[in-house]
Amino acid sequence: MSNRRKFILSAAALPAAQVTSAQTTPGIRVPNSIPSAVAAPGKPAEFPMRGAQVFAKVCKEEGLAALFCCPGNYEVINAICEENIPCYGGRTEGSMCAAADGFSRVTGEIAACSGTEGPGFTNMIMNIAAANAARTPLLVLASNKRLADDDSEMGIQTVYQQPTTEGMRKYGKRLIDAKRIHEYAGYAFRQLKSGVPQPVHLDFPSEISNARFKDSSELRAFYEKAKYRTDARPHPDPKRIQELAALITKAKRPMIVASTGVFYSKAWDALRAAAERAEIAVVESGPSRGHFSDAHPLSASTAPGALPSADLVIFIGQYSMPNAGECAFSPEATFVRIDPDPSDIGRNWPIDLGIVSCEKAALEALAAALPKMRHEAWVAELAAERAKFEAENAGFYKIGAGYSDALHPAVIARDLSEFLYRGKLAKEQTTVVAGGYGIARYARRFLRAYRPGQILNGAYQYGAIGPDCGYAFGASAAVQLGVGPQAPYKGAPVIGITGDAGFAYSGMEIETMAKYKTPVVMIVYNNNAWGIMTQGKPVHMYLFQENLRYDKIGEALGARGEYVTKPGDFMPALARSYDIAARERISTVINCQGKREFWTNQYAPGFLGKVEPGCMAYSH
Amino acid sequence: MHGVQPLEAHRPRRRGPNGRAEAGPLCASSLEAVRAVLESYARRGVLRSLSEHDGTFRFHWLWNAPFTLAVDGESIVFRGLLPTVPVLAKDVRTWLVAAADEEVAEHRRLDKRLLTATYARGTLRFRIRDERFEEGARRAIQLVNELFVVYLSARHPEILRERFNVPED
Repeated sequence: MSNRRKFILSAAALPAAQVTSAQTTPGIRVPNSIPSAVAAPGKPAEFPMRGAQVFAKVCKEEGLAALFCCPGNYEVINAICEENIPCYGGRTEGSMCAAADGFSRVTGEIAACSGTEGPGFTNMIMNIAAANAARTPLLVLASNKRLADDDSEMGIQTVYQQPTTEGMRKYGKRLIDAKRIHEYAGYAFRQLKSGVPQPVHLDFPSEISNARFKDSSELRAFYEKAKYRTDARPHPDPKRIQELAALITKAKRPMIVASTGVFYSKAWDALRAAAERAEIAVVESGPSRGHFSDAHPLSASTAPGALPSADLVIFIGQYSMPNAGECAFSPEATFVRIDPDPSDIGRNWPIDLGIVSCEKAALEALAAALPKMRHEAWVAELAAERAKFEAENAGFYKIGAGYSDALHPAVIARDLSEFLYRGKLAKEQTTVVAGGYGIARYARRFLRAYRPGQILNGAYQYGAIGPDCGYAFGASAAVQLGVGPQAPYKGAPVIGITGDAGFAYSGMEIETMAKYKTPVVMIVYNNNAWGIMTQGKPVHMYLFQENLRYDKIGEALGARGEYVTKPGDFMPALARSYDIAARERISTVINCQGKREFWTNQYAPGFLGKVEPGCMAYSH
Repeated sequence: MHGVQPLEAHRPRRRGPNGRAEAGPLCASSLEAVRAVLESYARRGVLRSLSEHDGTFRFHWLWNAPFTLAVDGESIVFRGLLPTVPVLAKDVRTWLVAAADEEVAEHRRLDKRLLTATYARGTLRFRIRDERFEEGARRAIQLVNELFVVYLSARHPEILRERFNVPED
């Protein structure tokens, strides 16, 4: 009997009290069967095992931190769940893929997503591509039809998966020999845990996941992880580190661009040590922020005006390299790039020195090689530029607060910032998923990161504005579990920001947040339109109905709703939502009613651009 | 570098009493200095596809877009740098005034002892003083860079989209 049939039969046997009556309108509730199943201990497999169980055991051994899925690929997802790896089932595979991506982006750990072979897998595509652009170590799993039915279109869901993910993954394999399942699990984790991370995609024809093994002798390879991969990392050439130290010693205004690789190599302590050793400014970029605190006197993440002053720029772990014009550095600067992949050094941005190394190893070596030195004038310039940026933002807020007929994004951004960083909460506490399109241009100016994994840059290079609720669910799951840098803030609510256009793609995951009690305060900037302004006949293609109520959708999905239409009401709504999220783990959708004209010159400050790298970074 | 013309071929163009362009005096040192600066950027990969013809340099730079820089006597001129939009002209002039403020760090300031700037009809002109051509050229290019990658990127993304086809989403 298939797992789907088993589920349907067991659901039919639920107590009468859990069955919806046609005569009454019962309230939305989480059935006991959900928390009790989540809390139930798993049953880790022992030989004899199926192929899926062998694979799940490798996932456990390798520390797979979480699985996000929809039904389908049953053997594999059930086996992973039985290994006591945290598992979550959501409403669409695409959003669950985003959730896994979001989980990784705030923890630095590997997460997996899974879907059924045809539609489930293809539903994930946009978010696999987004994870690939963000260089996320995402394990993409999907079932597949029997090998015996290849090319036959027997039954349903025929699709060739591997060609579909080509160009948006680091490694992919359709498993075709059951005896090699452990070997290919090793392939997957070798790729996920070395070099530049990217998605890895495995698809499991049913002969593979259902294969039976009496003992390990029936597997072609079955051995511990130390035998099929290494934790060793490339270390920098000492001569090149000396060259870099000499450049820093000579520079008046050195700056490190600390990006994705610094986060995933967990190099934040080494980064701070190197920066402080020689008073090197640090500006962040990448899909995650917080590996260098915005509160540090050497931080340039909120000092965009200082970027063109840097006379030495050291890109480290910048996997998605900008092109000329995409970073605000001077043509006079000397440029250095540190990256584990030599084949990427020199792409897009010219270099004066290249260093092949794991980011953490390079920063540790650099800290050891640098003389203790001061750059007092540079530190003072950073402080002045930070103050200038804050003053500019305060000016935007003042303008925005003057519009009383709708909620201006500057008000949302500034009030959120006041609540998170200058109110009762510890400023390091709250993890924020900063998504959306136009709203992001304001929110990122005001959001701050004080510890690793505190801000997730939603759109990042791929520019998908839709996965935000999925990211927020994944981030919230990570905070509830207290994984990695989220450990000190275990259980805290997460803030998510998206637009009305973005909400459409993943808003159903509000139900998943409610189901698992992973509290998120989801701020939806509702301006009745896509973020693009246009005129004339095509305009209807860019507009939505006006005054739609995303808060009501939240309520209909088991969360709370708040409806805010004027500036003074946002902060109280936010405070109420956060409070109930913290106390009762209930999520809220705050519908912030703006208007599309805020993106025009009719309403200063209008649509804002961005300066990268730093807190405004959107693309790199 | 392709298409480099002999230095003596360059004669900066000036406006005569009748408003027509006429050849100005040879200014070998300004051209040599600007050429040296641009070549140094090209060698480092900052500028790409640098070419020169009759005192006008063409190269690919920000967003891999083509730029034109002409040497005109003691001035270097970015012709057609921006679209001729009134509000933009006002903002660029305001930005140039701010760039010359004493509060701007010395290494980035539009230092009037070194060069002055004027902006009209999409063209940005820097007049370099006291024959400090190399230093002035470098500062002028820095300022243009900053105008684009800081000011216009933050406040006029629509201009970058129109002028350089910079992707907005």
